[in-house]
Amino acid sequence: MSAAPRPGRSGLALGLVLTGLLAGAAVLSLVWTPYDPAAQDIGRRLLPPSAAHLLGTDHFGRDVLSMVMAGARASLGVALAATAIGLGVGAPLGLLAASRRDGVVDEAVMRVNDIVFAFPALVLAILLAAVFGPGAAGAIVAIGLFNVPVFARLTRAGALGQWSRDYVSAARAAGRSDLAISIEHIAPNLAGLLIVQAAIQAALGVGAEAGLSYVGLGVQPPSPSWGRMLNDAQTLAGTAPWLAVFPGLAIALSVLGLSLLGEGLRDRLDPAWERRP
Amino acid sequence: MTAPLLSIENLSLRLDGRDILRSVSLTLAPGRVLGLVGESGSGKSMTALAVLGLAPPGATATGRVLLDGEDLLQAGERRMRSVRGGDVGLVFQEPMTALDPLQTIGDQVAEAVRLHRGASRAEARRAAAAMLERVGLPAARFPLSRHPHELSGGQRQRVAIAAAMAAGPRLLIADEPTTALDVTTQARILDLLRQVTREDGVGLILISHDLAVVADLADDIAILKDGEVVEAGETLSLFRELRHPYSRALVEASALRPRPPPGTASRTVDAPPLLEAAGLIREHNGARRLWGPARPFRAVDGVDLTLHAGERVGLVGESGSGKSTLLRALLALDDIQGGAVRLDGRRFERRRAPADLRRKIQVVFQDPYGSFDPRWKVADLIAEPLRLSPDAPIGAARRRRVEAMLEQVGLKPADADRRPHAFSGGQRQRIAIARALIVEPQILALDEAVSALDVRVRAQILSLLDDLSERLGLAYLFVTHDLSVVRAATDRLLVMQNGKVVETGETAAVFAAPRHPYTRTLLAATPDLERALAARAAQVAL
Repeated sequence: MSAAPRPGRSGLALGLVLTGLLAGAAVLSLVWTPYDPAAQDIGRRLLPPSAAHLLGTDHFGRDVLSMVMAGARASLGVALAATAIGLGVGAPLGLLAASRRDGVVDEAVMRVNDIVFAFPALVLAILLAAVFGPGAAGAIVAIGLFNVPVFARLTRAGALGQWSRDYVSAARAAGRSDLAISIEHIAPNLAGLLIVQAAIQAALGVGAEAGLSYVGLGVQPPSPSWGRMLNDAQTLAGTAPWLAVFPGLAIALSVLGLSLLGEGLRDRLDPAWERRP
Repeated sequence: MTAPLLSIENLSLRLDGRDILRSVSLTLAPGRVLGLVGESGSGKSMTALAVLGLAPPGATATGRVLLDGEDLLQAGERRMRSVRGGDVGLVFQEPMTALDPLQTIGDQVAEAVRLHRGASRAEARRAAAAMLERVGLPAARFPLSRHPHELSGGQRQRVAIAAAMAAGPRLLIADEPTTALDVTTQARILDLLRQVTREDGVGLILISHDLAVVADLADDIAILKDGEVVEAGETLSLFRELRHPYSRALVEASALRPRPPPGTASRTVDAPPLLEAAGLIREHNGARRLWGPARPFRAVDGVDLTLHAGERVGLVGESGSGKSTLLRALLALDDIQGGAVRLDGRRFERRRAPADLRRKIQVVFQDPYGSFDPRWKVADLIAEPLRLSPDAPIGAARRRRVEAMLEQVGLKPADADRRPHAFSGGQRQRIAIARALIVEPQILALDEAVSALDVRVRAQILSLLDDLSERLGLAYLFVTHDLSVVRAATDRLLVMQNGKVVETGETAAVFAAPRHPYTRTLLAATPDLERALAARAAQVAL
């Protein structure tokens, strides 16, 4: 049934393009931006978009395009690092919880997860900022910590489903240890599931980073960040709407792109598709 | 002959440039039963879906499907909605998924009445109660407020039949209605289908892979292969003549020959048994109670079992009898709560299963699709148990060993580089057998290993197993619900019911003279082609 349309194809393409733009802007900003994103030029403040400043300038005369590009680096960096923490800690915990059928480890792992899950992220971020001073590291830890139970639960649920499959019984009859089965059989079969969730958590991370920066708990000046750009823009929204529109669009398109990428990847990675002739 | 109720003329179905159905022509008179038989992929279910206008999107149907003269292929979607469930009732294979788990059984049956007969709520409820009573679920014992999960599989299938019949259809299509049920339940559901359709003068299309079931119920039969009707006709004369070679092959493959009783010389009863279970108990955690600990459910309750080298033992029982649970305990996959398992004289349990013991017993599971990691290549799948061997070959030697195994089970060495999804169900079972045999076990356990296969493939796998046991001197432990397989493949059998072994003995002797009432019920309920045809002939003679 090769002619049946594969859902998510066009979504995957759009997701790849948007995520590619985001990543491209972030990488490019390391070596080149049209202007120095931190350079102030009061004489050229609050200029609307033009050939010289494609996205206009802000109240200090900084180039908005340069700031959006540099902001991509902060957003993506925080989001990816936080997702990596969640995946790196949560997935092994989930695998462990599912592999121990005696229930004690399972209960312990999942109850700790519940406690973390129940703790408000923003409060933790404020706490971290109060103790260590606000900054990107605090944002990464706060967002990352809340990614852990997401991945742990998902991994455990997926792994429990796999443990009841015959191929796992066959591997056990072949004398494989629970650890070997978890690593060699279960984890690869959950890869699709986890990649999808990783993309979605990265999307949420971009949003969360913007939120934390907006309230001043994220990336600190002079590093530009979309959230703080929005905060700066709100008093000027009437006179200089581009200051709010472009970072807002950047956040929305990044979240959309990562989400579409996740969904599209799931459809491509799902082994059910491979079964089709 | 009365005017046909349903007349399918030259029905063809194309999907993605492939012919799913090729010029299928069938007729069904009111009150008669038409059996559609074929292997998986033969197009028997697709024929039913095409009749209902439910062919997959993108498929183009040509020909005519006349229901009382009305061409359903030309009918619009609006008309077809009233045909489905109204003029034509449907019963599916899986009674668990065919019913809405959140709706009461009364509502599900009443819904069909309200939708298609325009009855009021109260009328529909009365009609539903009457219909459920007719299918053997009287409201006194089975209130309309029951939900599907409170019923057994057979009872759920009764609800599905009641829902399909409630709107007063002219035609009922039953797609493998008893395949998911135990044999004793199957017999009762088949009786029920026969009775309700006869009483209401409804035409019945019975789709099944099981020749014996169809021969028992159907007046006329059509045998399908690759989307074509290869042979069709009145049941008795069709089976007597079997003009088409494919029909003959199908009948031959489904009639498994009983295994000759083993000669006394081959018995090795004096030797200590290879595998021995004594007083084996296996408990599951039962339903959790609100207060206090869960009450354990005893799935295997004090079972004794022995298996000698080279012996073939069958373990028979219906679903829930504990046979698969017992097998998992024997394979040291699960903890046991009492008794002991000894393999080659040594304790063999989940927490003490040394590699040298584990390699003596290997297993083939039922589901040819679920028993392989879909991401692994065949070569790696087959080689996985090799880690149990102390001198496991590596590199090129390992590859040669895998290829030799593949050839031994009738596959090609080149198949080692493919992934399991590239193979058919029968080929996958061959791969599973290769995987089990690569460590040269002395016992091969087969958990419903041929149950999911088409009859011709089943016959091939059984003859492969015969062949392997002679060459390798293997002992087999067949766990199955299918008595014909046990009869064809084992020397000795154990019958399980509710976690206990109720009868044991030599296979031929048990089949000739079953002692336990449950065994007798099982034997009587097992569909048998010869018996069905004899009964049909006797009916005609009257």
